[in-house]
Amino acid sequence: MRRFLIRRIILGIFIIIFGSLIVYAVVRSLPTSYVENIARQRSMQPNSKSYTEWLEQLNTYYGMDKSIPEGFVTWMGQAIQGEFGDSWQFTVPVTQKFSEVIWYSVILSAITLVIELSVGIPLGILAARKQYSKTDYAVTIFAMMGISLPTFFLASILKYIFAIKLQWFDLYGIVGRYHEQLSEFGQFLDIAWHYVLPVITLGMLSIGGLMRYTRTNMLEVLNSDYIRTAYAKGLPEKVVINKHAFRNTLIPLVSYMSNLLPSMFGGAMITETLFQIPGIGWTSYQALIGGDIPFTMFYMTFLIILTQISLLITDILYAVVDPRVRAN
Amino acid sequence: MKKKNLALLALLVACAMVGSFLTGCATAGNDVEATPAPTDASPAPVETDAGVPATRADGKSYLEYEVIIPGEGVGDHPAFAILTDAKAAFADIGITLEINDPSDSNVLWNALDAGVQDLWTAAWGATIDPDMYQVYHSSNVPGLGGSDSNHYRITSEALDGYIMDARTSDDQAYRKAIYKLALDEIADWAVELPTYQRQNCTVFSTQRVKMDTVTPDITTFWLWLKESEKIEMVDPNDPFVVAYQEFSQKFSPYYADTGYDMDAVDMTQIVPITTDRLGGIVFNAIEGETVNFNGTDYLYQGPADISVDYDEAANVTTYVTKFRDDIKFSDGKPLTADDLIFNYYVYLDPSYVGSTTLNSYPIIGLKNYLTQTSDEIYAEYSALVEAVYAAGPDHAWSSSDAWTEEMQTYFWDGLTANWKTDVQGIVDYVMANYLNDEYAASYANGRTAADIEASEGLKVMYGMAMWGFGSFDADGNFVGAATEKKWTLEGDDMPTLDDYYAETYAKYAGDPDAYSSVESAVGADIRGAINGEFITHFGTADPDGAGGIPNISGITKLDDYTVQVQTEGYSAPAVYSICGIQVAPLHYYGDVDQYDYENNQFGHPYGDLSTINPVQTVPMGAGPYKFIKYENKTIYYEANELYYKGAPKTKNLQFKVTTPSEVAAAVAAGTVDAGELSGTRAYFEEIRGYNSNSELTGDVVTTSRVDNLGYGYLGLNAATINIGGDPGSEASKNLRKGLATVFAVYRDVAINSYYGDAASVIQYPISNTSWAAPQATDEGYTYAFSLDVNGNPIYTSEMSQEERYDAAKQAALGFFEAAGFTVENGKVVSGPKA
Repeated sequence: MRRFLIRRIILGIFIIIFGSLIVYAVVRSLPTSYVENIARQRSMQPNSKSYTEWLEQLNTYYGMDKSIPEGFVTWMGQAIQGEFGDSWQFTVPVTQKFSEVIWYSVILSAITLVIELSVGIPLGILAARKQYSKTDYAVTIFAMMGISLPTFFLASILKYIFAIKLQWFDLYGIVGRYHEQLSEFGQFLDIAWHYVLPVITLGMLSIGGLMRYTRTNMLEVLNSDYIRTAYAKGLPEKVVINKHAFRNTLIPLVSYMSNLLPSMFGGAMITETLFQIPGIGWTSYQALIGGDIPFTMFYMTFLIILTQISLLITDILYAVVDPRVRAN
Repeated sequence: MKKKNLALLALLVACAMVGSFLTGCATAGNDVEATPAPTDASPAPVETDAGVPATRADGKSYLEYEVIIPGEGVGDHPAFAILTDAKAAFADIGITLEINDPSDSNVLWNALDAGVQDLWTAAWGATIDPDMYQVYHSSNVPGLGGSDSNHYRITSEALDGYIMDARTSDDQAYRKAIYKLALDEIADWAVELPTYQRQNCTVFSTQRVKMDTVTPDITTFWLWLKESEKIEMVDPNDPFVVAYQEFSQKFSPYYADTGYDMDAVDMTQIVPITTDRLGGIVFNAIEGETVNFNGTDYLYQGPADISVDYDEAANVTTYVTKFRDDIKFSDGKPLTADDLIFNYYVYLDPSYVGSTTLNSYPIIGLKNYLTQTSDEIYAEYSALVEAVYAAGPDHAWSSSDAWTEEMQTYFWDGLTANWKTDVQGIVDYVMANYLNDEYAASYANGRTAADIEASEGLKVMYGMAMWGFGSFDADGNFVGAATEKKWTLEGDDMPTLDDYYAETYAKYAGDPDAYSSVESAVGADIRGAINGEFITHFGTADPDGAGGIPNISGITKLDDYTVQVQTEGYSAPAVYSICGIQVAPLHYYGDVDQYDYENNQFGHPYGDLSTINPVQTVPMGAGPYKFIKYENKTIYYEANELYYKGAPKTKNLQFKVTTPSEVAAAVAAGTVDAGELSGTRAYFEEIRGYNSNSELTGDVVTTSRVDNLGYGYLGLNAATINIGGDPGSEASKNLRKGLATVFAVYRDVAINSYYGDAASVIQYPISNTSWAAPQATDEGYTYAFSLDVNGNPIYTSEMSQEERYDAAKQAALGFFEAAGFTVENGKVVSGPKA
């Protein structure tokens, strides 16, 4: 087990380095150049240096005059020490900007995940147990709708019904008008209340997927021999399903969840825009199209690292969930 | 294969086809062409045997034009329908119109800055005064150091004359007549087709806002936030939430450059001048004046009394601003004349790069302050530098010359350096905009773009070739056009920048003015630049001018609350600038220790505004509200208890970032209490849906509509749409008129379908809220581009819509023919020839 872990970690480090190299190469090759834009702007001002002079100066300042491998090594050297530089677009340190916006997205994803798990899996199991019954059809249709509806459409419908017609929620925003006047706990509840619609929007989509997946795997398990044996032995339905069948469904579920950690930090750009949530989705998009290399590099590398960690955890979880892997 | 597998395969193929079809459709429409980088000149046009260029001055065809429209990539713009209709009409007569609708509107703004656009659609916001200097004066063509707003690149002496003439008088009838001449000249140049005059639409929540406390009789000049301190909410604990668009977060009175940032700062600031509902000035604002509007008397009060006095004999106008003595900033410190003077010295500092028109007015002593030379010194050294230039570069200095040898060397070295820098600029421009394999193959004798990029020498060669300073001979050598010097382009035998400089020097016989007016890629005036440097360098060193100029003599402090500004001559719009700047606090934005009026210190070192920058994020002033913070996409304001008109009734104000399409819905849902939106049919229908009486003002939403102080237009760039590089020739004007005539006829239908009755088509490029706008009943009022090349009306009143379209096309063909195009069988077949 230990050797396995160490091998995985070393492999992971390699992947991180090469992954970020590829990202760096791509971002450097983007046609939009932040540096050119700034050089042009500044050279147009009265009594300013020429465009070429500015370009040279800014290129040196931002380290763009080195070749891609050189530039990458410089960046990597600083990154390992924890120095990610200042964001060009937002003019504050990258890590500061990131920490300002990431938590909104993480919370959104975390809550969505909890709902997804607590609603999607039981529904999937239910649909599998009562295959082809009315319950099954109802749940399946609901799941299909959830998967098929685009986020913006679903969000707009929810906003129309709940915000405009019923006026239960604000149309958008993560704080209400009274936010500043509330106590700390009140502020917490205020933000939580404003998260309801975005979470429902994202949740509907992901519940559908998870539910279908669970149902399929559950069906496969339920049709296997050992389950029939369990029934034949006279075990109660609850024990068969929850103890025997469910545990075997866990294995594919763990695979499904391997993308969990990075997706939580990935942000949901459309939902964030529709509900005016100042999260990482919109911020990273702005940074990317503006050619902001430090921010993009930090964020992409962060995601790569998270993915590696997530996969590692998944591998470990396999061992936990599946005794056959442990035996190996 | 088994049947099941076959079926699966077929399904897979079908899905792939559908998928690719759908993705193909989705991507087809969005051809975002990021327009290239700097400036406004062009390579030598490709010449035909007949001597007249066969392509336009930047290599584009006479039969193809591009229009840029900021419709968010989806055609969401009132003028979009005009363009699509015109495109079809142009196709009928042999002209190709390409519509570029980028999803990022910066593509358009960058193109305008660089001057590479052909046509574009946009809208102007206007000032109260109809002054046309900022947008139409030739000195404001981008790159010349002015306001950079003359995107039409119209350079008409007559127009410049009208603009400056109209500034000199106070007589509205006189000014209106001059502006009519100016508008006719603009129409003659055919650089602008006015499209629409729309309305501002503000929506309020009837249920949460006490509508009787919102300022009554909102007009174009008296917007709804004017008396914000009086607005009350039905529930007194309710904050007043206003919907706004995304902020750039440059919340500084000096550096805010988006309208939304400026509005955000405005809530915290005051300006000395007070204006009424028609834009007229209220001079005795401390005591207040009562002015009638539409039958109601309104009392107008403000922070200062203004007086404007023109002394004809001395040709000096004196502006006096006298503040109340009890105004306090929101932190409790009093507002005095020192604060106003501090602000003047920020806006007029030579290193100030924000936007202001203050320095375009001839404030006495301003020029001296900026150049740090007195008038006498300035004149003396100006004459000296001209004399040095006149003596020529080969003049051997002798002690009998009026200037020193150092001056002579300084001048000629500087001129050569500027010239070489400008030539380098041409190379850079060519490399940035014309480097592709197609051009490289023809201009660089079969090379590729990659070849050129790899070699410095080849870059210079390419720059020379594209600008017509060199070409290839039969042996593949590169030959300079003027010097006939040869380079084989092998190994080190490449042209250098000095060689290129030598070519240009030879072509223009050393005349820098002739060179820079034609060739410069950035529109630079290289001799003007060195002249300025010369005067400042030697003028300030002159013992008579020692110490420089410590202050602007025209700005004086009369007492603790009174400031006087004097200008040469009289300019009608000046008072709106001189008395209209925000009075931001000296102690917050400047350095009190560096302010001492008696000793000519004004809160910051001359030429150094670095202390102003860091305070960008939280503005502070004497306005009705205090800026607390910007968080969670909301700006939080609190009432300024010390506001001179009394503490605002509503203690908390918020500006909440909102998607523009959701403003009405947000008001109905209760998320915001007020907001502005554009008056389109779609939004009006939505509002009617919210109100139970199905009107625009009802129990849920109250709507206020006033004409917007501005108008929409289609611009034509005279620098790219012309014949043979001469934008002001009759042929060029006819070309643009031909284009404009076709666009003009499609305006009515398009605007009506987008705005309905919330906008009207206008015939002159001026907001119809302005007193200077020609009215339909005025003499000489004509419909835009309704006359053909012979001056006869194109349309008659009996024509049907289809007949009007045909008549427009015929008239356009007439214009194109007059411009030298070849027209056959109702179509243009080729551009101008000999």
